[in-house]
Amino acid sequence: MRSLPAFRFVLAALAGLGAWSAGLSGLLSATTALAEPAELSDLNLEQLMGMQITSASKKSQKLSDVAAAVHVITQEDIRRSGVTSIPEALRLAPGIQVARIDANKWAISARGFNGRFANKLLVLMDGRSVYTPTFAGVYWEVQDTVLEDIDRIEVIRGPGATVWGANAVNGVINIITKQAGKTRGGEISVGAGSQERAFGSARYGFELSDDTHARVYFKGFDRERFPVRDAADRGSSDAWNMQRGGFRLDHDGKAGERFTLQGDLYTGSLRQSIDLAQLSAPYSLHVHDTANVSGANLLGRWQKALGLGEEVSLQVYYDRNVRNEVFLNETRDTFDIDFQHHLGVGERQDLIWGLGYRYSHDNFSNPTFVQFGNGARGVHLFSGFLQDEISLVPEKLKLTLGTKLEHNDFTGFEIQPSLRLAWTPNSHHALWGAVSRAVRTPSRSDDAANTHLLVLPPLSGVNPTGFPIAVSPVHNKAMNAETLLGFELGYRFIPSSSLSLDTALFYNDYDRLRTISFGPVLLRRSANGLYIDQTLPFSNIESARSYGGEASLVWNPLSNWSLQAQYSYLGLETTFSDRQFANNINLDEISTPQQQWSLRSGWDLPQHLELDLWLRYVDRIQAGIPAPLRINDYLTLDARLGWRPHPSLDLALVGQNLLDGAHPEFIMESGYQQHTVVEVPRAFFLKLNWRF
Amino acid sequence: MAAFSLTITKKRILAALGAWLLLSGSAGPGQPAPDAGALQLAFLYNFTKFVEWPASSLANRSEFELCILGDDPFGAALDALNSRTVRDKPVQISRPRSAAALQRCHVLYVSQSEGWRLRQILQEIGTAPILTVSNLEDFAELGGTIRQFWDDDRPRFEINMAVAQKSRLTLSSKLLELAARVIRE
Repeated sequence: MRSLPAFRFVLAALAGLGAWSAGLSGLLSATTALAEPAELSDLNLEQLMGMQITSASKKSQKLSDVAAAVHVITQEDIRRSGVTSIPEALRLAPGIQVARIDANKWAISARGFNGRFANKLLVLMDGRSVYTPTFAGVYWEVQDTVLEDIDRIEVIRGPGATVWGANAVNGVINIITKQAGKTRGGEISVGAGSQERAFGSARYGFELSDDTHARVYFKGFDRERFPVRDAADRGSSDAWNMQRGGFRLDHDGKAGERFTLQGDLYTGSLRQSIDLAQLSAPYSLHVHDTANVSGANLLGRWQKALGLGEEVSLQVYYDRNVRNEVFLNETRDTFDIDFQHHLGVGERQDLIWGLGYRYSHDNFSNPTFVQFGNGARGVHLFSGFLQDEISLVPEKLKLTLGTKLEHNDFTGFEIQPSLRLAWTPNSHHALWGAVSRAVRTPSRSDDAANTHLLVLPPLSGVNPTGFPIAVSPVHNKAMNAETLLGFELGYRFIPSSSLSLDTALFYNDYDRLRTISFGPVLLRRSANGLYIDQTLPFSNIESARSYGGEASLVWNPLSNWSLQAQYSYLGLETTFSDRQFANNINLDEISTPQQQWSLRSGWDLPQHLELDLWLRYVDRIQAGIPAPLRINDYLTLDARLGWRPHPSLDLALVGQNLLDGAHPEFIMESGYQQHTVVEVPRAFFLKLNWRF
Repeated sequence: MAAFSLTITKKRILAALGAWLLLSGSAGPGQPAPDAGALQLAFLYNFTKFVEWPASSLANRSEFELCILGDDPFGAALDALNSRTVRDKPVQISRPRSAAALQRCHVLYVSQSEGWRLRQILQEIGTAPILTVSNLEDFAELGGTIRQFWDDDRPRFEINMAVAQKSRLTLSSKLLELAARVIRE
């Protein structure tokens, strides 16, 4: 094992060196390409018709004048990375922290505050919010679809609350599937491997009329457990399987009116090892549990063009999620309706405004370990927004002003304005800046949940008293919304269609962050007798400031070779208005890597072969409670060899996490994972795609 | 140690992989292909040389107006067009946002993003002398003048001659010869 770090370094250095030296010639050709458009227009029609483009020149880089840190993960990125899930695909975006907790749990955030219950990242699938108000965050393991049917994943780092609303504090992720008309015919994908024991999906797209297309799909997988580093428990498992099916129907008569109807159904079974505190001996239960999850959703969207630059849209969806775990049984039903109107005002202004309403009803029916004061509750969310895009100098300087106004049942009215300015002097440079406010509204757990984080046994080393001492986070009905005032600056540079650089800097000022505070110590009686209760009420006593930046470089040195390099840096400091916490370690400061970088190479080789290499580095962190564990930095490599022996057939051999046998990435912050460290292992799988 | 032998195997595999990569990388085509968007724009510009607009449409106009609707694929190539002329008039690139602005266009490129309201756009144009160009499927059938497309990654175009005539645009025979297909009625 000792030779590994040195070996890794050599490999990383070689990879870097190789990329740059081989790329030098490409850089030269890239700069000469600056003059290319003018030359092309000088050619006559016959000469132009004799030219041929390649798949690489179809996806050449165009300058974006969006005044936000946006990165788009394309279908091609997903395919060539070899990832098998949406959360893993998010590693393709710069500045997104993706850490695997175990085989079926992820911690994902942008610009810090990462955790299983990371609550500052808003996630939508085809316009449907998958952010759960239960704990404020995303159950990543149930967010899935046929990966081949994803059109793109838009990743916005930084606040997006003016348009997207509360909880879009550190970022917004939009997972967008292809229109049904773009998925005609069948596609069957099957595969098997070491961690991906077996997986398969089948999709069929068909034409209902000239203007109406539909597709149906089914998908299922069975995934192996991850290795567990636990002296006491070697039999635990986090293996899981899921089955899902769905459809999408699109009608587009090209006459300024279109609608979409789509829905999904899923069910899954996820094994997990959970540590739970209880008031009787042995005070800490180590449970092998199977979480059963299921859900369904149905969404309709209608759009109508009222004029050249004017349209309205109406979207309605229903979403149901059921989770039955040893510590919580939860059923949540959500109904959402959203209206938007976009119109041009004069020659200089683009106005967009909208109104929305959401009703979310939950039912928590297993109060053994987590008690909700009111086990069933429906909450209402009313929202409205207005945004004006003003072209100060046409095509050159654009000012975007807007605000969202929301009313939620926990904190009442919340206002989330933003101001953005983008300057594009020409089509090679874009400079933008933004100031925005965003809020994270209290979750149902913040408002109503009580639990015991741990129970110290009586007459033990840490507890000399004769009673068990419970350490108990308790709800707080007076929770405020967390607030962010964010400052951003970005610069994009596209010297040619084969080279582009996208950078962003940020400074975030957070206030009223949720944390736990020291509450009263009480002597209480339970069914097991008297116990001492150290209460830890949720409170808004934490403030933080974070700063950092992300850079992303895309470069196609040759028409058959593309390179992507990404780097991100994050600094975060917290302070507490309550003195008692001044000397404590704060997970928010240590559970997000300071630096991440990645280098991805995609080669199109002769004989219809593709070779993709993806090197990733993630800085060290500390995670888990009550005593955070140190998780070392890691460098890892994924590789994919693809072969298309026939236009309708794809084969791919994928190796993941090739540089070590296994490495840990995260430990849950809930206290449910006290004794175990789960590691992400090296994995291989073979995949076949057949289109008909 | 198992870990040690694992490292050796890994080194070998990676060394072999690296060698193969270097060899295969140099075997591929080296010349960068033209940018698809720039090529489309070059076509758009070239079309203007083979089209006669009615005198009324060019008279009293100091500029030749090339309009774009939606998210275009042209990128930086658009800059170069700004310094060119058509019919001795400097090219002005504009993005019309009203029906009135649309009527001032000489050439109108309709992007993929506007496909869902194509019929509306064409209705708005009516028989105005505007050369409409797009990559949209069925563009020529639905009443557009020229549709660009890729045939085996080679640029091709088709023409709806009936629409051109109704719009009082005169297309040269040379252009019709080069078209992959001409719709006459």
